[in-house]
Amino acid sequence: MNDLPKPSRVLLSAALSGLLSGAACDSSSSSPAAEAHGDGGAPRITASRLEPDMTLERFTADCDAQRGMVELHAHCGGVNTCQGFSYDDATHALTEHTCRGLNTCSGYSCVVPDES
Amino acid sequence: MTRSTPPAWLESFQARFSRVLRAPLDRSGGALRDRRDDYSSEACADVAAGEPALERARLAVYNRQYWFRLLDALQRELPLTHRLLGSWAFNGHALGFLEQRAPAQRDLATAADGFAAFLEARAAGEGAAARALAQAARIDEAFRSVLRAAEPPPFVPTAEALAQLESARLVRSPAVRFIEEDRPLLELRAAPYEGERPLPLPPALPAPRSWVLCSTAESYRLVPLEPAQARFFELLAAHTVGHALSLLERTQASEPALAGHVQRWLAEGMRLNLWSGISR
Repeated sequence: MNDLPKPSRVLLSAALSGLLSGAACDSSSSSPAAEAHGDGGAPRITASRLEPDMTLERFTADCDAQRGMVELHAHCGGVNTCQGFSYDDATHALTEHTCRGLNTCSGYSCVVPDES
Repeated sequence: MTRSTPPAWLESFQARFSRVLRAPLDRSGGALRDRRDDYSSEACADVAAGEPALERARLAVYNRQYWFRLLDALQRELPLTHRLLGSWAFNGHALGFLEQRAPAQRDLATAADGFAAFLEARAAGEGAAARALAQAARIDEAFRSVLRAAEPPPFVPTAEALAQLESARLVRSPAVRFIEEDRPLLELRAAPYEGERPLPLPPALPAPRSWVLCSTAESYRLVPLEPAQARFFELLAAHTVGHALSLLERTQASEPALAGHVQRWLAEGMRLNLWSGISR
């Protein structure tokens, strides 16, 4: 294994950038989405609507379109990792939010990272 | 505080009673039955019943309860494996395991420690159903590990650590496990189940699926991984970051957006707290 060539500088830089850009997302820090909402960065749900026909496949496609990451939640709210949108499979509510811990109940979330 | 030596009569009584409790149940008749005729006459004499048959019947209550409580604990700890095998077959494996390794801890859940590895060893190389059983046992064990692990504080890499990144390893958090499934076993694990009959083995997926399982403050989170992302995380678990990147470049040389993928995968990994630190 020691004979392996070194990784390209491009790939190593990408790795560094990834580790740094993903290092900060918690409920105490304001997100650009929350800042843009003019509420001083407080974590909040910014939109909510009913989507009774939502499926995991459709949700995943919507999430992929925003270069997001799907998470499945086995239990009730407050467990999504970061800003994005969440689907509550009991109430069929689709919510958009600015921070972690804002999904409402079991279902799935899409974490949409900042464009940086 | 020192503990005095128990009197000899008490030690002797506990030894007799323990042998009764742990006497293996008989599965030969299609039901789990105690072997009360095998209890020692000394143990029976400990029961103030006055009638031999009643003495053995009273001891058998404890004998059966010991095993049934343990079987119930193992079924709860490995719910997917229980669904896949059904209660009768699951209990057969569980009895074989428990006869080899009697629990010695107060926490009943720890009675299942080592059971997944025991099942994997039994299932080795025996067709699709056996492979599914081994995979199910690994998945159940992943849940057990993650749900019992303390979530470490978020990993914040220092500038010094990042300067040495190429020759360092990312240390996987103890609250994280990677899961691979050839069949939709995670759905089966969450399916309603009242016990007894095995649930049908679901058909194989068009391609294996990979997931990361992470503990949260109150529960857990399952996140699907792209195949290449899963492969990259496997490489990171086995190699330094530099070697993992080199191997990835070698196998994904034709992927023009590889750098972008690596950046996104690592950012996602950081958000999920997949790593607890960097080691040299």
